[in-house]
Amino acid sequence: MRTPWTNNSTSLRARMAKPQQVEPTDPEAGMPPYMESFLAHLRLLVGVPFDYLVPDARLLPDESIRFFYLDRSWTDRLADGAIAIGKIGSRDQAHHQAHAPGVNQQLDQTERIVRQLQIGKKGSFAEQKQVSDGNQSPGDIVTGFLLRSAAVSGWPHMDVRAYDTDLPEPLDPSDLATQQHQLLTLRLELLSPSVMIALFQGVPKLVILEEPHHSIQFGILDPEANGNFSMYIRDTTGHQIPAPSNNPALGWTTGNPITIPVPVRASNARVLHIAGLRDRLAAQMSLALPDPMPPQNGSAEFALEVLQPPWRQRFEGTVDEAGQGGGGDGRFVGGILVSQYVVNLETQAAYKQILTFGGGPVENRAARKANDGNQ
Amino acid sequence: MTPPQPPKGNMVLWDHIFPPLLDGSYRWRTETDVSYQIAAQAQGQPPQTQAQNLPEVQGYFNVEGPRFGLDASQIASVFPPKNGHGGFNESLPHVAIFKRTLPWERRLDPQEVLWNGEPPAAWNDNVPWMALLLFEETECTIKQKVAIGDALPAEVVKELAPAAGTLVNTVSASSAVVQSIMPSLEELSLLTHVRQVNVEDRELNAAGGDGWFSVVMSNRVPEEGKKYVACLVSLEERWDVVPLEPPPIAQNPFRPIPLPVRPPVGESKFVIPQRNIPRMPTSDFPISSAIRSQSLLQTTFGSIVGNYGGIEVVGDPGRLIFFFQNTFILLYSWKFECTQAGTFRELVQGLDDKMYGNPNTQSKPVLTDTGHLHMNVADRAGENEVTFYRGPLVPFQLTRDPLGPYHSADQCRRGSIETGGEDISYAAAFECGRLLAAADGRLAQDIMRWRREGYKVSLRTDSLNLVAKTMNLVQAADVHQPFAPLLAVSAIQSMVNPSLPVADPYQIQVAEQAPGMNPATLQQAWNLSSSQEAVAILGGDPGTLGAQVTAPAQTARANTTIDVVQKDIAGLNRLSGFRAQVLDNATTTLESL
Repeated sequence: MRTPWTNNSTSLRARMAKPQQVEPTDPEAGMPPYMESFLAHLRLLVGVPFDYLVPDARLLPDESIRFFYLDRSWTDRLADGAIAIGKIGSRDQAHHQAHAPGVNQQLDQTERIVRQLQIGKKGSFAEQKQVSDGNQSPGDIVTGFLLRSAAVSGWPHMDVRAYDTDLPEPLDPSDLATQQHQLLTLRLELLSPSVMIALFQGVPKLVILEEPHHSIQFGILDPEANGNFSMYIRDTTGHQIPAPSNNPALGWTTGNPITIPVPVRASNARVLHIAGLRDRLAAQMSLALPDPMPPQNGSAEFALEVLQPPWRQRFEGTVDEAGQGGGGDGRFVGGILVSQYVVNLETQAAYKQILTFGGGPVENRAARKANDGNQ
Repeated sequence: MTPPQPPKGNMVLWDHIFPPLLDGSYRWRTETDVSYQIAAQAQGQPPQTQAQNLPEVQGYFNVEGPRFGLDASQIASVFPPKNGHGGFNESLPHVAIFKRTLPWERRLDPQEVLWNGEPPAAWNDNVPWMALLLFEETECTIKQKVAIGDALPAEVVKELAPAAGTLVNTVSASSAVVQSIMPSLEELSLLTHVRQVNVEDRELNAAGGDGWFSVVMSNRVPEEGKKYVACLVSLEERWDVVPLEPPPIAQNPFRPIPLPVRPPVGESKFVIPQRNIPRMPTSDFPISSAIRSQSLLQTTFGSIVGNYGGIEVVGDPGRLIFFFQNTFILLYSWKFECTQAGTFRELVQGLDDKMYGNPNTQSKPVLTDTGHLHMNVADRAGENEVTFYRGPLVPFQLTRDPLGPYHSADQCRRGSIETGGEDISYAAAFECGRLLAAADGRLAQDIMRWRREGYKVSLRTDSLNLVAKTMNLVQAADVHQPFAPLLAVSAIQSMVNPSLPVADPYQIQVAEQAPGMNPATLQQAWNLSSSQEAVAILGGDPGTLGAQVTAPAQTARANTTIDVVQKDIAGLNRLSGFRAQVLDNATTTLESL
């Protein structure tokens, strides 16, 4: 009878001596796609019950926006907990322990494509992952905000952007120089009909909320003293046209945007005479204007004229904009706050004493209660 | 071909997007046209052409879309917001629909009745089959789930030809109001367009959309202090109520004409095309017969008495008050109130903006300056204690814990250095992750697969290393390469380039080098007189050690044939005997095992 080359105990010993089991560079060390995708979503708190995020409703009152940093340790624990599923022995623990750095690094990269995966329009997980794996920069600071407002439910799909510098208006989001300053949006989702969460990679100096583009209003100016509706005329890109000269007959003042009166129906003064308005707009074409108006030959051109540009709300870093709305004292200011108590040597000593000589848990609790009472 | 997405923050407007096929029933027919030439059979005969077509096939299909109602999931957004309160008195209500072709999927006037046979204007194609009508709350009546035959004029129902038992929601309003707000055909096309927006920076939604929306505007501006119902109505086959030309422009906008909401009989000036439409009888008004047939009139004011060319006559015969109304199929509706404030701008400007952890000043939860919340929990001994919890959202930057990973929630519990209290934040995170993972069956499978793959590879590596060590492989074994070819190559290589001479399979020549086996060394070591003596001591047979062996000369044989061999009975018997002996040996060996 031949003795076997290896047996369970020796092979187990060999493998326990090498806790990672496989080298992190081996393909088998990589996570299966579903697991990687799940954990990456978890990293961005997808699926985490709201109570964990906001343990007390008063932390997010009605009509409020709260900026925050994401505690990466918290999300790491979340992933640890998920990986702990089915961990039945020291071997599984050793495996996780050995591969955790690699897993962490991979998730730091993969979490950047979660939003693309959520949108679901840009290819499969594997295709997306190729993109994200190209960028091996380590996990950055993640920040974001929670917004609870009637604006979230009433104006669905608003545009949200964050920038790393405080860019002045006029701000064109499609401009390349502007886009270089835009922070990657990691997550932008409704947690409930009126609560929105946004996560950005990096520390923003400027966050803007923009009225949703597909529901931009059609604006006209309400009757003033003369009881007439009026509206601005706009050029082919939707911008107001400044009057080139003074012309009292047309109501022009040099530099001021041109307005025209809006006809209404004879039968109802609140109903606009759309056909008449279109004719009146077409008549403006004959005037010499600095910026040309679009020719009035369809509903798109008509809509362009009556559109009101979306409102863009800016939340800026250190620039105080009191008087321009917003208000509050908690504007988003980046920085690190060190708790006073951590550097307090007395507290540290007291704590050490509890740990060392405090004895059983009962004394511990008593000490804690005493401490709580002091607060 | 879909146009590319507009750049960030931009939007593209389109007059219309037509569907490739309008909704309706279609027939398709396929036929083939195949012919081939037959080569000339005989000299001088021209080649023949023969057709061979497959039998013709035809079938029918329907293109279907929303017709008698619009699901709320089709609506991308409405403005003013549903049930919203705000200063909407400077903007026109509108509704954005996810499907970009929807407003043009049907025809308002497929038979072109409105043109009286004249070629329609070029923009006729652009006319959508829906309109957004804005009513004050008191101006209209909405009814749910009405049989379509009871609600609409018979002429319209006949043209629509709905399936039996179709139930629709309807909205009815006095025909004077309808007349005053109903857009004309051209206005309808001006009020409907398509928007293509950039979707990069928007929040996700169950039906996120692809950035395309069709937008239907209303032409009525809400007035401050009033409640409104915006109604998206179907105008399919409603050429009886849509005017060809818009009504006149108000000549004196300083004095708006007061609107009679319920005009008495005979005052309606609705513009109705002449053709095919039953006009309301002027002299012989059949009220009395209607009263008898409709008992509901006895109880309520405002019941339908008759229906003439799209205008329903409603009234109270007892008090002899009548008015006209129009009823439409209601696709979607929402209510809002026009008050002083509450637009998007006002809402976001009024936001209370702070860093997270800045609670409401009025009722402050107990919060440490590190953002921890006091939380009462019962510990594992069942005793109540106060612990600290902080969620993943913190008001300041924290360094990432480098001591990962953690394997149990207990490992994540922390004593808070500030108070000596217990911090359960990370333990809660751990448990939360564990519960979320446990709720996902596929994840558990994938994690197990992840581990198993690692274990399998490590097992394989161990085995390969052992085999490689034992078998003296010429090449290092790679766990990711197939092992059998490597083994085969090694075996062949050691046969082609043997490390030992084949003639010396037992390594005698090597053994001979051993000092104790070499006569010369032995002679020297034992101080013998001659090497012959040493050879004798070692056994003396020159064939065993040292001496070269010459192969015995081969026996010369005459050429033999098969016949000769066959005749050699003795030789064959000997061979049979050997064979039997080998079989015996094998049987014995197997039995002994």
